[in-house]
Amino acid sequence: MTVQRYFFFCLKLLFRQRREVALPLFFFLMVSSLFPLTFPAKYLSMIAPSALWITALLSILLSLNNLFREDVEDGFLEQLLVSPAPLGLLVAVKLLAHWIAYVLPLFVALPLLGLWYNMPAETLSVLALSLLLGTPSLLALGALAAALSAGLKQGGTLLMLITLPLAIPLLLFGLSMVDMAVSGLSYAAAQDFLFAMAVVSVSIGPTVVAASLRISME
Amino acid sequence: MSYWQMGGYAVYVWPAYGISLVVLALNIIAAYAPKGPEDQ
Amino acid sequence: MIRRFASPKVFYQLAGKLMPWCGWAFALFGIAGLYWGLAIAPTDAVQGEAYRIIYVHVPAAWMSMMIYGVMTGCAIATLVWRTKVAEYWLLASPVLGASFTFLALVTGSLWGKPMWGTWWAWDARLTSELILLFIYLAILAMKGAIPDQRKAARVMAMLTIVGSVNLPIIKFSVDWWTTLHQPASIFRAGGPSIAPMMLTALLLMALSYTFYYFWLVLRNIRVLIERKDK
Repeated sequence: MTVQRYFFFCLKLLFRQRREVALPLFFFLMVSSLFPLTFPAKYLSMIAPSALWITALLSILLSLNNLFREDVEDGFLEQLLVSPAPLGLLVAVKLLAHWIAYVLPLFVALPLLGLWYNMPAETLSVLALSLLLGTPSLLALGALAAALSAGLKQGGTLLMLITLPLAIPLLLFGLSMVDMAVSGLSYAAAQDFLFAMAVVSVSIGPTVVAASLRISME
Repeated sequence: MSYWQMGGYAVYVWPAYGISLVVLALNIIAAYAPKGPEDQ
Repeated sequence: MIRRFASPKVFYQLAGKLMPWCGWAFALFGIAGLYWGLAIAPTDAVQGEAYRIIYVHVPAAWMSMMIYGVMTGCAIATLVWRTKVAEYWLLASPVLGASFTFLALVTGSLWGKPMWGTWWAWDARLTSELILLFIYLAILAMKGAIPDQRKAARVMAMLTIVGSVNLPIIKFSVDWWTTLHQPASIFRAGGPSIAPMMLTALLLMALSYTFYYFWLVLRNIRVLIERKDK
């Protein structure tokens, strides 16, 4: 299967399962609503960026549960391992399809969340930018964890335990962007860092994930 | 010997040395404990 | 010559010979370090006697990082050359690494309470050490989840290497974050200024802990080799 065909195949598959694909989005909405619901209003602006970043992180990790599950179960992954197309490229387009299906909808939800959290539009847009720059790296880390735990019992929980410590820098730099913006300072440094991480994740991430898949499937 | 006169701070120092000893001992026990019959 | 020791059989013999030396070195340096640290080293001008916790705290922290470094080396050997001994070494180390990280955190808390008045603070060093513990726990979780030992070693190897690339980034990002948010100035003080007597005791304890690690990791590797070859 060519890389191009595989990409559209992944998209088609995700679209066919759109009910399941929507679940992490519902999770994102529901958990995000808990903070403005339970915190006193005066603290809301302080916790908003952290709450949203953390909830987005957890939603993405939830979505990654299914990244390789079916492929492992129905033997499709083994097919991919012996296919002539480089596995790294196949993984890259699969992750791109995953980002489109699972992460893009989160951005659509952001305006509503801005309303719930009483976030000014400028803050919300910086938050959106930080997520835009940070989510490719989050996805790469999560995919790595998914590859290493593919086919294992309790794979989902292992996925989270592996990814969360490694994702902390992304979390901190993403929040730093929003923090600086709120204080009226330049957030260029954090932005550059996130961008650099995104470039690295997109370029060598799929290769590392592919290597991890080979290890898992041997 | 000054350490006899640690006074109030002894509350923190001895537990620190104590827990260190306990964790080190536990690792030694784990390394030398006879394994179950699963291997035979 | 190194390649000879990559064979489990040869390594088994070598480890057997080295183990007693490591064990005794641990004990002797340990006793020397404890005596030096508790009896000979002077009382600290600022902190009194409570500072003596550093003689178990700092070596534990050093070990937590050293062991991770050793594991990273083994991880590379495992993935690149599939060296059996490296795989065993990788399987045999994380519990020890996690133990030292745990000790560093707990003794650090016990030192923090009398010194700063708080059991915990989210400053860069404490936070980084906590994250290191999480990474060790993740590695152990993977080890427990994979029944096939060689595969478990390779999965752990990949995780260890990704973690090792991440650790400097984590340290940097936490450091940056905490300085951006200016924690209370009481966390400025890194510890007692090191008088030579104190440094000696510290080094003795560090050597003691290092021999302890080698003693037990060699023992663990031998047990793994025994079980594999019965």
